Amino acid sequence: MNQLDNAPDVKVLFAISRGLIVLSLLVAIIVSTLVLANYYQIQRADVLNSPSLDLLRVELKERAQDTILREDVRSFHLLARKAYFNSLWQVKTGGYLILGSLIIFVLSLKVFNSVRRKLPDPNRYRITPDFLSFSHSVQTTILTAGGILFTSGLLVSILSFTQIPDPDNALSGLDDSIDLSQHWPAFRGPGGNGIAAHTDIPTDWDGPSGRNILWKTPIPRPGYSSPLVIKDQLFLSGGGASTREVYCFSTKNGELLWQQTVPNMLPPDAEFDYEFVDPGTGFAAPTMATDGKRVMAIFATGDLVCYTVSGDRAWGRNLGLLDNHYAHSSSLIVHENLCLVQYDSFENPRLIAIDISNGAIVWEVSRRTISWSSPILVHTGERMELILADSKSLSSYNPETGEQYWSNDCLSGEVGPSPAYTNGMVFCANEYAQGSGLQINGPGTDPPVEIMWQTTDYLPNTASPVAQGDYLIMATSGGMVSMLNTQSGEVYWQEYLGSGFYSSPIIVGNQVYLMDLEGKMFIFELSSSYELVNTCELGEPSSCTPAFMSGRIYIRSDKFLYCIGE
Amino acid sequence: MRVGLHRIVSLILGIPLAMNQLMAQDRFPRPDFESEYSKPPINTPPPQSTFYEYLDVLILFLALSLASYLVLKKRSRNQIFLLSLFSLAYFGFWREGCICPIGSIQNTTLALFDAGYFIPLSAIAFFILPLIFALFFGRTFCAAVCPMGAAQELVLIKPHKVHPKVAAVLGLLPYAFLGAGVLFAATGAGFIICRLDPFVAFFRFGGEFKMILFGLLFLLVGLFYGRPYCRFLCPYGVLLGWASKFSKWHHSITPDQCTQCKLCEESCPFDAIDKPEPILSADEQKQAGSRLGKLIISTLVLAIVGGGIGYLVSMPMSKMHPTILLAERVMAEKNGLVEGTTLASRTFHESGKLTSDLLTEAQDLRAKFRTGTVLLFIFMGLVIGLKGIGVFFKRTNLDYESNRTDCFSCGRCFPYCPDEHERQKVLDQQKDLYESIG
Ligand code: SF4
Repeated sequence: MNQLDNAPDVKVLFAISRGLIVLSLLVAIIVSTLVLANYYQIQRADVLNSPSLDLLRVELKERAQDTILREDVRSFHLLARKAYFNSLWQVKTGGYLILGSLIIFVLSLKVFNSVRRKLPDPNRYRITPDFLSFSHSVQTTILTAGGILFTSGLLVSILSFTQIPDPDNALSGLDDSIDLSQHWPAFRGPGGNGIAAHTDIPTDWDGPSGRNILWKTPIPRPGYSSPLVIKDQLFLSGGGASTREVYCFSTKNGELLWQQTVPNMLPPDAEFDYEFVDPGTGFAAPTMATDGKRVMAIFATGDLVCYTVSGDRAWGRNLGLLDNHYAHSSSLIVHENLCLVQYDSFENPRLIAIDISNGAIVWEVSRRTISWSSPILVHTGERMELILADSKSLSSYNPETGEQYWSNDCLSGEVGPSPAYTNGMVFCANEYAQGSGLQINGPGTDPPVEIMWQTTDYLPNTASPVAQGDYLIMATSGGMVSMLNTQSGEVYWQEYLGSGFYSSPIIVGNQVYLMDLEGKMFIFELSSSYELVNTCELGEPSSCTPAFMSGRIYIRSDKFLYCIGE
Repeated sequence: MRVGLHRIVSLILGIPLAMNQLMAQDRFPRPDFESEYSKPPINTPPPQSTFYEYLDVLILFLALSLASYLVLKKRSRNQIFLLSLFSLAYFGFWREGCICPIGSIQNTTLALFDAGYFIPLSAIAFFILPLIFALFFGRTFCAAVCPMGAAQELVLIKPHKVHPKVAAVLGLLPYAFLGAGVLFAATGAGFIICRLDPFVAFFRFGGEFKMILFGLLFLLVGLFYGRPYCRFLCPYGVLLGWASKFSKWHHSITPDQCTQCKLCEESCPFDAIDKPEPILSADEQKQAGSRLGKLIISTLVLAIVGGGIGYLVSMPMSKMHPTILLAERVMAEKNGLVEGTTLASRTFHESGKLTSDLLTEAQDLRAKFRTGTVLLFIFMGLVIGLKGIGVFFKRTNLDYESNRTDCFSCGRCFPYCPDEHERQKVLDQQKDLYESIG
């Protein structure tokens, strides 16, 4: 029974509430439509990022001093903001209206329903259909819904595709499992010690005629940094005062796979004198280093940058103003997760360890003076030692912590050549100073290192010595090559070869590869008597140290990158 | 005429709150001029004090106890409703809908699968307490403690029945949502149950525009169809339903013997009253038996097929994991399938992380997803089959009874039972008697 039947004043309430329901609902629908339209208009128009405003902004960057233009941008932006906030106000006011009308709607509906409330009347309830057929139809519906759900799942999976390869498929160019000792990850190869892992290296080629030159490709910008090779990718840096770059070449055909311009990371107020950089060193003299996944490069500006092997920029930072009269030339080297930087600036020379994953400084220690040589990383029997030279001494550090293991004042002058190591002995030399053979006595000994012999004859100026077993090779910038006994310093032989050496000698098996400034490679036996195996012309001058991989030599000349292979 | 006064009061109370949240839309974009203006430092609110955590747990416990008392002993719809208003105010608006038992499913799952995740004690308590109460007293949490249930109770004005077939289909959603919520939490893909919480934007006076629309939609539907979220989406309701099915005590429509007067038959806006059904004839029983057999086989088939579909679907589903989505984007950029970068891919490129590391992580996650999705679809296959079978078992009762799984113990049906009126009269007489005795 309906309450409306016997309550005349309730009829009025009924009519009012019904009218209000319709009215409030109408208002809510109309305002909602307007608000939604307005909202999407704001979203679409994106007045704050209008292209005209962007154009003006770009112009302003170029004409920063133009006050009229600045005022124009300001007033345009003010206008845009006004429009934006006006729309926001409309949305908000609309929201209030919707809310108000919805409240009236709900209240009216409640009143409307209350006056229409009926007492329960079981006789009017619908009769439940036959249980079996009813349950059957419900079950069929549920199973059909399940079928639709599964079919939709199937369809979605058929229509979807993924860019993520299966774990079983090798990730070309993305595989991280690399044994660096089998590659060329730093200046003078693994550990920077000048000994190639592979011995199947060509002994005959000729650049001018192209004999055994697999490919030759131009390098966009100059630099004295030497190549790094990881699998089928070769990395180089180059550049000058205006632009510094990192390159990745394919070792298969010399194709330039990627090229990244290194942003200038010098602080805006840094007073770096670009003119002061010695052209004989240039902006890209230090060789890059890699952990097999990322490559790091450092430039004369002090900008250190890291890219993934696939060319994504990982991080970059400037390590502080570099004050170095020949320009920075020490190469980078990697130990585990650290990129070790011999950062030689007259003011505050430092050895810095950078976390390769994020570019953060993990530790740094001060150095006494600077040099232009590069660190080597060797296992001296009981521990890894990072050995490097300054203009007075040869020093060894724990590569993980920066703790100094030992130091010996066996050097002087402006040191360019890097140290060499074999069988517990370390060697260093510098023109107009002396060459020394030092015995590393190991942890807990006193002295931890001692000079076994010294020489002043024919010392290198740039090319680093290399040692293996009984033999130590040194090559001077004047063209003299000496083979010495590592234990005693006794000279086995000395020969004038070529036009002078900046490129460092590399030991390949029982042979030594040494390239002169004209690009002529001397291949001779690692023995107590001079036995020339071959000489090969590149046909172009070169000062860089080649990279040696299985069956291949990669040489950077002044303008080109060569791949030599038979 | 009697308009429920308590409802009107609570609706009016809700107005400023709702207005506030509408005001909280669109944030002010920063000016992009360089000027002398220095931006104020961003203040991060301090972490919630543990005092509040324990207070929340205490209030939850007290509210559950009171709700159970009101449902089972007091049988007072009005008081249940008032308690639900308090819960809406406290757990909803004051505590901003967090933490809640519904979301705590994910915290608990993540704690089980990720040893590095520290689950607060309050999250465990919020997950466990309503279930324990449901095991003893039925879904008294839904009746008066859940703020989301309370919000829907408030707006229910003109209840309509949902067609049984539609209800049966929609009733599958909470299971799917529960399974997906667990899968996503277990794989670290995120808390989708919270992300799809339609009411949290109201509780917090702000949120994404689409979430406010989603919430409004539920409230609008809730005007005419009782508790749409509780019935057709709430994943915690699934667990509460399971616990309540075996509850030691449960709400009953009548305080006494059911006389089968049928007066309560249509009183439940949530279709949670099971009616007595006539006994099946021998022939019908035979038919039902053979169908039951078919349904059992269908259930097994559905579970197996579901497993297969789950395996296939795992790939597209896993793209909802942010890491997998990022890996897809980075690879698409690398393979030249898309132009430009997204904020996420730019951040990745600048982070110094390696694509190969990202891919390995994505592959590991995808493998986890594969297992999870296979299990999810097997579960859904079983749910679909068992729901079908469950239709038969709705009919075991001989009286008008609230369905233990579906009943929210809201107490709306109490006044429909003549015996309840009789009980109230007796109680009033007893009260008068005690008062006259002094
Ligand atoms: S208490 Fe009654 S009205 Fe409320 S859900 Fe349970 S059966 Fe339905």
